Amino acid sequence: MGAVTLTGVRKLFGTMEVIKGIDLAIADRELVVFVGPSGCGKSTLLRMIAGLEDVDYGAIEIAGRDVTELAPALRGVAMVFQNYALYPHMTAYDNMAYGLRRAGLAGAEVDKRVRATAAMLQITELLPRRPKAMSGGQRQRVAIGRAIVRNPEVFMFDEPLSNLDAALRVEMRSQIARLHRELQATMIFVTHDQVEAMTLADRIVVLNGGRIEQVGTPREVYHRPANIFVAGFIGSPAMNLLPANLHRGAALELGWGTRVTWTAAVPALPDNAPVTLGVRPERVSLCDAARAQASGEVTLAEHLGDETILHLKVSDGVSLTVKAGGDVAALVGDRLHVAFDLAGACLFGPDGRRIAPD
Amino acid sequence: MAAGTQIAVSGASPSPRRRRRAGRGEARAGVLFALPWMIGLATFTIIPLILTFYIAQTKFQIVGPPKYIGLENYEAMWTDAAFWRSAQNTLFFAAVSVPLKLALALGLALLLNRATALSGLYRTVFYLPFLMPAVAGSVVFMLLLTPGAGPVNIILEAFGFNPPDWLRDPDSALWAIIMLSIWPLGVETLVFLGGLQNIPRDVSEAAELDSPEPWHKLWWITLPLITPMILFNLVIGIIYSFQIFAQAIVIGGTTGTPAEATLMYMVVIYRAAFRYFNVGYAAALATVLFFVVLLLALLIFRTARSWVYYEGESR
Repeated sequence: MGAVTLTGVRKLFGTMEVIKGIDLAIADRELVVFVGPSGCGKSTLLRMIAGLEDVDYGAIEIAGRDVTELAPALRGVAMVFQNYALYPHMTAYDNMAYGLRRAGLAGAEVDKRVRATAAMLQITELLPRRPKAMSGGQRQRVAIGRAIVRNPEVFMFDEPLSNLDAALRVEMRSQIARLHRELQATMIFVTHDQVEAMTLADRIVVLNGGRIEQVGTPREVYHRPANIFVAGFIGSPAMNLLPANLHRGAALELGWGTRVTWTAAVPALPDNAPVTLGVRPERVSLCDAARAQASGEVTLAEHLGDETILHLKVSDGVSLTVKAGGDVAALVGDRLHVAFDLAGACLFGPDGRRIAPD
Repeated sequence: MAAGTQIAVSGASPSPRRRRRAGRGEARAGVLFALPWMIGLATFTIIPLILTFYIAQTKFQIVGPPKYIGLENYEAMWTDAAFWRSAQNTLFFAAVSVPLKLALALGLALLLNRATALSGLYRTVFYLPFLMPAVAGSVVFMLLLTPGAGPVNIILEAFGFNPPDWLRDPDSALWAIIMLSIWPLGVETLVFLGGLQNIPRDVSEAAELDSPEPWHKLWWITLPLITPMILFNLVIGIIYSFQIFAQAIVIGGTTGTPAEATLMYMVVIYRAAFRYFNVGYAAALATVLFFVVLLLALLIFRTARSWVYYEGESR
């Protein structure tokens, strides 16, 4: 059982509080991804779970044991680092065998486990090599092997794919997903890459300023962001966040004067309450002037082949991002008209929290 | 198109002759840049070394020209009791002081490597003794170790010990010199500290995740990664230990009192050259020292291939 429970976990660097009271329960065999902007505390939180950073307040339990004061090696965790952290003076074999040997396992058992893990990761031919003689992807596979061979309760990955090129990142991502299925182990993965988070996670933990903004499945955080921060952070390009006023809970007056009908239920708010309409770029479509709910000048056109990302300036201070088809040939300076599909839209109240849909 | 390709090819890679000429020009510039140092090396190291080898085969007493006597100076060493006693003392001194100094410097570096608010201050404090002249340091040690009035013996006596007369007792005098030579270990500590700070933090943390025992990390990860610094300190330490002079002559004089217990090899060389004006014999002693230290250094470098890890190598 590799469940992880964090209760009121806080961390201070000097007088600065970087982790501000985290309560989180990670189920056994779950793959949870911590995401958030730089400096949000995601790596610090992971390191606290691993025991590499002290916990100033609160408690951490792994597999039902309070590990808050335990040394990292006694917590039953293994970690894969961003820079691989392989021992440079040892061969891949010795890197993988090191922890087992120090734990006092017999040579035959060490050899059996190292070779079995190497075979699983298809790195047997790398075993006699030192890290210097390996590519980045090979080193990362050895680092993952070093973690697997110890058979830990919890695997931790601290931005392990950041140093790899795009193609290798995709390959390693699918390999980690496959390992999660095969090993049936609890995994905590830290990344700033949303694609990694969305594709790997059973649940995503969105962090900001040392606090959890939302915990949910990739679909939940994408389609039902808890607040404006999550809405703006998750998704690339980011969700359009448009200022509006809500009239009698049924009509939205957008910042540039256009009125649209709002059909989803909303909690009681004063009439003309300031709200924010959140619309994903793929829910904004180009249309003719007659049906337009907004019009704007193209300030940037990104032609990506299968799709085109258009950035429109609708009015002073209000911009829109539109995800259109790859055949759209709009150029910077063109004036375009768009309409919103509000079926998948979100409404955020004056305090920035989502008020609709429920 | 074909012509264009030809032009491009000839423009991209110069002819072998032109490349050779350019290479010669670069080599000439390189030699010119290095020339001042090459002249300095020749004038102050190589020529005096060759002269020493020559003078070692002469009878030379400063006044008058050297007279060639072949290997007589080397033969005289076999029957010189001071040579054997000083060689024995110096070997013992090197064998004890070098490992002890390296171990202490490493321990100190490990402590200094822990980030604390006063790390910078500690580093400076531990380096300061190195800046003190050896003679001054020796005099301070003599005062510290004076029986009756020196604080070391006063403290030991207060705790019920019966301390020796450190500098007059043949059993403890050499140990006093060993202590004195170990005291300024700032340079060795800084070299180790540089190595420790060069170990990536995540490698160190990976070791903490692999084993809860701090000594496992020290023995299997930290020490192998600072072996270039260990090698450097070891070789320099051996060279300096065989050249111990100032501390020995301040404490033991030219006779190595008490009872030649502190008679060091360099003191015997000094005595032969400047007391007995037997420069030829002193040069022979120096030549032997040179080859002994060279042999030791070569032996260490030979074995270093199997125990020193360099970051750049991929074997």
